[in-house]
Amino acid sequence: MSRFLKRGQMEMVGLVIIVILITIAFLFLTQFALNDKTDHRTFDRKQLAVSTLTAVMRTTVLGCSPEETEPLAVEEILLDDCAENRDFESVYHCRSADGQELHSCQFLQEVLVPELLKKSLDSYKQRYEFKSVLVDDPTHPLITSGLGCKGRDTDTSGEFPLNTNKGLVSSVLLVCD
Amino acid sequence: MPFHWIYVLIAGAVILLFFVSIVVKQKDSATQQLGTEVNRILESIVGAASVSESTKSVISTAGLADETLYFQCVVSKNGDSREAVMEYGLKEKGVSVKDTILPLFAPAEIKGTQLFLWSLPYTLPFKIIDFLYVTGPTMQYVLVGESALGQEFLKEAESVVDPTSKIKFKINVEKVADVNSISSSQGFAVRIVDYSGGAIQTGSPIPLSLQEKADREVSAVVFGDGKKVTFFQKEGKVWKLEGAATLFSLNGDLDAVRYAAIFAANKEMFDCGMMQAFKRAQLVSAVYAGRAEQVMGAALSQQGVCPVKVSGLTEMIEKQKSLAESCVALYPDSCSDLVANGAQLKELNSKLGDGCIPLY
Amino acid sequence: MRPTKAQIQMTETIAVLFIFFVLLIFGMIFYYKYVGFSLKEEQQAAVERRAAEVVTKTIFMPEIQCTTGNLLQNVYCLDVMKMNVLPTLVSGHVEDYYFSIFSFATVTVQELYPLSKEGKGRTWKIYDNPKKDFTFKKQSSFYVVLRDDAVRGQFSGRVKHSFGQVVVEVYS
Repeated sequence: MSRFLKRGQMEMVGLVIIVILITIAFLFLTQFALNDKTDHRTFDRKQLAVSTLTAVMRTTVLGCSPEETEPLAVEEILLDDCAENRDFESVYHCRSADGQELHSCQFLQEVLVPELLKKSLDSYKQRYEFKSVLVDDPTHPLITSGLGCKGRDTDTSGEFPLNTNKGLVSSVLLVCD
Repeated sequence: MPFHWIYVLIAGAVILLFFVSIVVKQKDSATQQLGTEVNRILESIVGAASVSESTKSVISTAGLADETLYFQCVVSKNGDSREAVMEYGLKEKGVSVKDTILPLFAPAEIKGTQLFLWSLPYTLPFKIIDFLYVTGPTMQYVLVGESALGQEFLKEAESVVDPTSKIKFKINVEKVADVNSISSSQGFAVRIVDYSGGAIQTGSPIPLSLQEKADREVSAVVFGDGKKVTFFQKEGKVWKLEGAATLFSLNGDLDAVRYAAIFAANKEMFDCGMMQAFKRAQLVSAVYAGRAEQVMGAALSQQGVCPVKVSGLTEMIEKQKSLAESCVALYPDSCSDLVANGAQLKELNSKLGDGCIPLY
Repeated sequence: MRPTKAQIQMTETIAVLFIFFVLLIFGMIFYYKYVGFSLKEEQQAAVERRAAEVVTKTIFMPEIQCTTGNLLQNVYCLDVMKMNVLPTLVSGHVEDYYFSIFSFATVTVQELYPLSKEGKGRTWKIYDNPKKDFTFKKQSSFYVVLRDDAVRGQFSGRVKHSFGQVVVEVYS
């Protein structure tokens, strides 16, 4: 009788071992199945950063004095004016929503750049950081926008350089998690 | 006793056969699936390479070193019209890619660890579409005859694609003084590009060093006077004429049509790609016709010379549009007129560029 | 009658086989559910890939891209004059040409800045071919500049460029 019991118990143990082995095998399979695939998002996000900054920089503004009927490009004209006349009176003055004429730096910082980025990246709840600096004076940026991307997985638009009389201006847009 | 063992053996063999047949069926199915997946990835790569003009890229196909990629283009009748369909993929594996849009020019078969992709814009006179050239490291292009075009090809054949990883785009191109001094290694397919116009003729002997190669591995294109290109294929020990085609282009640097003739496997593929391009030209011309109307409207409301400069623009672009339609229907007939009209449009546009709204 | 040794053995064998088949069935159910889930994931990934491809194809189309004579292409720049005529052309050639490029999708370009006095920007529906009974739908957006040659500076000749968005919806 004890011999039969021992055999029965051994066979139960055998079955339990089989069940445990199969469970472990399934766990392994599940682990491999849930492994991250190629991250397409990173590629798309980088292109998003590049295309958005390109679009922002090439957008033109109408109705700025003294050339009311002339389209003024953000990078080529307004940012250039801001870099050269940051501490002085700017050549161009563009209007805010309430009709007030603003210095080119103030217009870019407070009106145009926030409006463009709000309509684009903000509308898709995409976190970003935009910065335009004089390369010789990086601690005092000309224009900034966004909540920042410090410590986050980030994609960059790359630097958009602009030669001005005050030196090289570098603009960059970071898009992050 | 032995009787029982026989039962066991038979049962065992049947069970084993059953599992072996499942494994074999699964292997075939997996191979076909893999082939289809590879073809899909290739389609994506080709699509991405084609949208950026004047771009060179190198694709590693180390995992497909034992496989052969094939390219063929077939013109079929679709009711009253003709349809050019480019087909490519892994030979005998998976579902191949069929493309009626992108003009792709490549050898009939490519085997190797790398693929070289190069795109150039085709303009007539505005950009119509990008041509994509695909080749591999086992293709050898041999240039015969002195020509600035040959120098250009030699220069473009080698460049660094990615400075950080130092990936090199390197098409096997060499120049020889005489067609009989060609040397070629085993495993290489050879394409002779004759800029002199007279080195290769129907029935003339194949260079000695190439005579042992398979017929399909040796071919030639001859650029004659004017806009003619002739395709030759090796047949035994002599050259066989495949056919002649016209180069419908406005010439200039990096002439997309000329390179299409160099990279196309045969005349059929060249014609196929050109037909696809002209189909697109028909649509793009229609867009420019609409743009021309707006340009005219804006110019006529201006003071100065612009109203004079734009005169004839609408008629010229409408003519371009209808010539493109004829070219698509009657290719290659009617296509020369399209090029001629394109040249006139180019001249008119260059005059507009100076202070007026240009067409393109 | 007490079961004989052989009967006990038979019962044991049957029990083992029963457990084995139960485990096998569980395994098969788990496997097929996993395959089904993985297939859905793959389909979704394929739709996302296609959305990115359609956006790329749109912004690089010669029918819509800005041109500056024979110079290198203007990336991320769409021509307003071309867009004014493109929807009509595309809608007349969906089945014979543009379906091969875009498949089931809608492509819209919206002007985001500047807006009119009424607060509206211009919209162009470049391609409109949605799938009626779709399983998956994915929207993708890119920001571009819209060049309008019809609006130029009187003295400088500078051309108006608006800030715009390309919205692509793909269906599977």
